[in-house]
Amino acid sequence: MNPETEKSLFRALRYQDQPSLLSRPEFEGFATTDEILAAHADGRLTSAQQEWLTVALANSNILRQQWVALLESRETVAARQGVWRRFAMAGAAASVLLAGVLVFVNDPPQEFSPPASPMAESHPAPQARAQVDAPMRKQSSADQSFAFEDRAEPPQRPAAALAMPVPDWNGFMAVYAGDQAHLSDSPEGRFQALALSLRHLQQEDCSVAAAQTFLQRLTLSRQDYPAPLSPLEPGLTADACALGEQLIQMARQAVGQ
Amino acid sequence: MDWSSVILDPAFLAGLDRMAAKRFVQPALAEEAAAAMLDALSEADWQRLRAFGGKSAPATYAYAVAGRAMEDFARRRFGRPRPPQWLQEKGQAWVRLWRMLCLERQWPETLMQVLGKEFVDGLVREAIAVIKQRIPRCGEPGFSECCVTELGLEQLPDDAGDSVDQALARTQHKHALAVLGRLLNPADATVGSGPSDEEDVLNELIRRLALTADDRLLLSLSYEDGLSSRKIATLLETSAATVQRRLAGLHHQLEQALRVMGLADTTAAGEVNLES
Repeated sequence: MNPETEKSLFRALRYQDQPSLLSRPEFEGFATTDEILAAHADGRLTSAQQEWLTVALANSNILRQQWVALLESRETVAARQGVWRRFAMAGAAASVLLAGVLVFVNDPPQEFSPPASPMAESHPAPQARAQVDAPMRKQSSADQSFAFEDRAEPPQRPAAALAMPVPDWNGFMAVYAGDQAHLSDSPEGRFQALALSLRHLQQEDCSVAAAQTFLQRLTLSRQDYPAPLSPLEPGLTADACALGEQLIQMARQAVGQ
Repeated sequence: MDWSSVILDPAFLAGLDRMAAKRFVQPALAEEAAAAMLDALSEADWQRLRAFGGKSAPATYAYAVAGRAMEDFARRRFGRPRPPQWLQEKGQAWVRLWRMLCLERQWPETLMQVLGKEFVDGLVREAIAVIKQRIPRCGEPGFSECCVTELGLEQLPDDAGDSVDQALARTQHKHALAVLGRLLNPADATVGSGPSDEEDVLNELIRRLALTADDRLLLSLSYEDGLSSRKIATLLETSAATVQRRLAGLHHQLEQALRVMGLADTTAAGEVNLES
């Protein structure tokens, strides 16, 4: 299909006629759309309210712009929340890496709740997240030898990431984002192959076959870059997904995203 | 509610700075915008915040109000003339960049540097090059006043931009009908089968795709706002891979629906020119 055809049709198809949010019974009690956006950002809308707001966001460029600005006002915090959650998902296997990455993470403000997103892959309730965060904080504060724990602002690259040349991480991120990999029998080439297999792993929802390929390539890259990749110990295929998440976090930190 | 303690908290003020820095890439302008937001919030003893009904954290509500105040500042400072038709057809990303470049006179290199990664690869660079080529007076002092008349555009009523949205929606609807007209009559790209046929086809597509609210938002962020998968993933709290997978799925659904309806598009990229 011609890309211009696709763009034109999708732009028209995204609209859905609906009355203004404030006139809907679901939003009775809300005085302004500002109040609705704020409640959404704090994860306090019901699923029905969420659904209508999502349609309104798709329809209105102005409202979407305001929504993006609202999220960007707290982007740094949100990113940290995301890191906390991903680490929580990674479970105990993350503990080694945690020591290397916690330098970038402040304790999130108590008031903050992550924005509720209809596409979010996981939405731990605030209470649940507090439970998740608590052992993490305990672990980090217990690690008295970790001198840089509170130096979170501004973000710095992990020492591990700095040990690898930055262009390798950039190449890794480019391939992960969809660029063509330059595969070769070199550390860089193998590292790009690892990015490719990570992308494939996530596209395949961590299938066993994709996990095996990823772990094989991770083993090779760990031989090329033993220091920076040492926290990523290839193990069971069931752990590949979590390892992949850790790896992409390291890459993002390294390129400053 | 003690709004002064919420708003004057250094953490909150840092959030205002972040918002302004994303919207205005030039530091002096960003600073001005942050100050304008603060003024708007504190005006008349925190008047704008009084509608707060406790449905979110106070600071979150204040950020939402500040976001609106930031756009008010931009409108007051630079006006909001209607974008040229060809720009509207390119989508919101181009309109946004046109506004930043031509009206607000933000620096092209800094725009590319700051926003490059948020948009689809190459979009910022391409948009800037095309806009500067097609609107030579873009960014000149007084562009807003001179070119509203010069380009035959009308100044919009003071409606916070809603009518711009409506105009964009109408333009895009018309454009989609033209595309469907071409698919219905591949032999003659200038003549459709009749507006009602094309409306019927569009309605049939809507029925077949049965897009969810999430799909619609994803399409807006990608096809309208031109954001990269990574940026969309950040906004929607998911992974870039998930975003790409969903977009690929929607592309496949559209292709399949057109094929079933006997409207397969066989033209290659660059062959379509519906701009009048």
